[in-house]
Amino acid sequence: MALIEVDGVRKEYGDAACRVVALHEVSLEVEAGEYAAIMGPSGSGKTTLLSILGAMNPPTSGSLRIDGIDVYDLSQERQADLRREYIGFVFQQLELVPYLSALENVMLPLAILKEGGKRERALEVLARVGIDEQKGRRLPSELSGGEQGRVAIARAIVNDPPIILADEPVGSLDTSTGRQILDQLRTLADGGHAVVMVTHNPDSTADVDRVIQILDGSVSCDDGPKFCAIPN
Amino acid sequence: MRLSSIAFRNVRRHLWRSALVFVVIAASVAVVTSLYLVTRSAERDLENKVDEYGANIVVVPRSEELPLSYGGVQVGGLTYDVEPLHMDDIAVIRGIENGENINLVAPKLVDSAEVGGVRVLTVGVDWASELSLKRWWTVVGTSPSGAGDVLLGDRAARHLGLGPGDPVEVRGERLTVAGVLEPTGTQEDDLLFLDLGVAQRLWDRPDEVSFFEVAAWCATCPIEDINAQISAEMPYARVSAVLKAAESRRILIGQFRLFTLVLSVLMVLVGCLIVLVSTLSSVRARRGEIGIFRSVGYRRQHIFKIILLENLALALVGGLAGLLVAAVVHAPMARAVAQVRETMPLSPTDLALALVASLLVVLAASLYPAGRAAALSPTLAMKRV
Repeated sequence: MALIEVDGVRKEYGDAACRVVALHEVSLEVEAGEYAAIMGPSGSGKTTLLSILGAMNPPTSGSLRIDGIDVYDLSQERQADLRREYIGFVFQQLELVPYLSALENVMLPLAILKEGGKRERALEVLARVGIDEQKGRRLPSELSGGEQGRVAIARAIVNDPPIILADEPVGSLDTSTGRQILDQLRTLADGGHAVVMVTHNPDSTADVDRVIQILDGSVSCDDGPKFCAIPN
Repeated sequence: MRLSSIAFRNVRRHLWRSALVFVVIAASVAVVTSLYLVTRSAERDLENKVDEYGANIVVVPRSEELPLSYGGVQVGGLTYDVEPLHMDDIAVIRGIENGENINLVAPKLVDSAEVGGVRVLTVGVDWASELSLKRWWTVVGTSPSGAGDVLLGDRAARHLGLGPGDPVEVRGERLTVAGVLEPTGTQEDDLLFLDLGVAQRLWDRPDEVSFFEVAAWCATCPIEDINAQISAEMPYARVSAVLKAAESRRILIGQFRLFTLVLSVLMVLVGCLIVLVSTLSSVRARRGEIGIFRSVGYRRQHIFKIILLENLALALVGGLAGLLVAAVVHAPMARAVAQVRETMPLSPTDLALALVASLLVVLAASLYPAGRAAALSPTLAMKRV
């Protein structure tokens, strides 16, 4: 059984008068330890697919199973619990909370838990991505782009979720910083996490195990990076 | 880090919005609490100084009256079966259930006498209670206090040609005019007041009283209750409530209370509206941030809690500041608005009630925006969905 199973997912937006079909009957599976990139031009439906994989956006039809759990059969509150337990997100603009320190940003998913040792756990994860305690006390605006990216990754993995979803994680970063983020994602996949990254940049797919190419809401290619060349 | 840490950070981060909510809550609490204290102080002042406002109950002998008219023309009336009142009735009046609310009982014996060839109406009074009851009297000369003293109304003094210090003979008894009342504009200007005991002796009506004026006040019951209790104890007397200064002031305070109630309700409503609108606007501005919280696993109740905590923290601080302002301004306000000299202090109960009320009001105003925030989708964290 794959960690992520997408079965016949269709997503429509709008009403009967103006209906847009973002995804047509998409099916795919992602295993633990697999590093997959979803690629496609703007408007192809790749971010919609990622939001559905992230238990955030129920499909119009079809199903998503994570670790065998039919996600969209769960209540909204249970879906939130599942996001916390199974999924870590890295967003396009990194989306760190600007008024919380780097350490507090990493602690964000832990804040709603009653268990102790949250600070120690967050510090340990920050150290794993190369941010020390002193820098952890700084606000995101006081960190470099690369450091912010590493904090965003630390926040995504602080709960030790089996799945990491990254939405254009290098889109807004310079080449060097982007490289650091991609290396971190590769390391996470090597560590057993299922990593799914949305990107439109073929350069970002150098280290991935698999490319899922989306065109007009359908999977047009699902293979290794060498075989799914993306038209820009 | 807890949810409260996130809420408090947000309060500090959105300083203008926080300042607006803080000021609105503080102003509402200050105004409502001050008005409440001013009203309560005015009511307490009235209770304490009811005798300054004169009698509000008159007890006269019950009598049967027969009006006489012929062809629609009033030709006078007959009064019969009159049972006079006595000095013992003072104890009866003070002995009623609400006896502690009786401030003063002023007995009077009314009759007439010829003084220097002029017929005048005389009133025997107990000087101490009468002078306490008629605080508005201004006496030219000295204030009467002894058995040999006489007090003349302004017109009576002019008719009799007497002034302070002059001797006056009443039914053969030589007395002294201690003082003359400045014009009151009432029947009192035509009266000759003398000591009650002397009057009872001169008219040979020992222990007899024509009527009693009673100054009473009851904060928790209407004055009609005291009337009813006196009537029940003295079936031979007729008890009437008199709408005088105290009652007028009570009505004025009642109107002020109504005004403060309306103003307080308006303040609270406007405060609620401002809290609601500013919180809604804050939620709208933080949609992306709330999306992030939801995407990392926050349940709707967690978002709800964060928004409520922010506003409740402001309500607590704003409420305390408002109470501080109320504690400082209510006394001068009471003096200026209600001419109250001694104001009620802010009690711990008032303090607790005001704080709880401000928390509850802000909670009510925050429920809708907090609900809207909690309903936001986690996809808001992904700007392109």
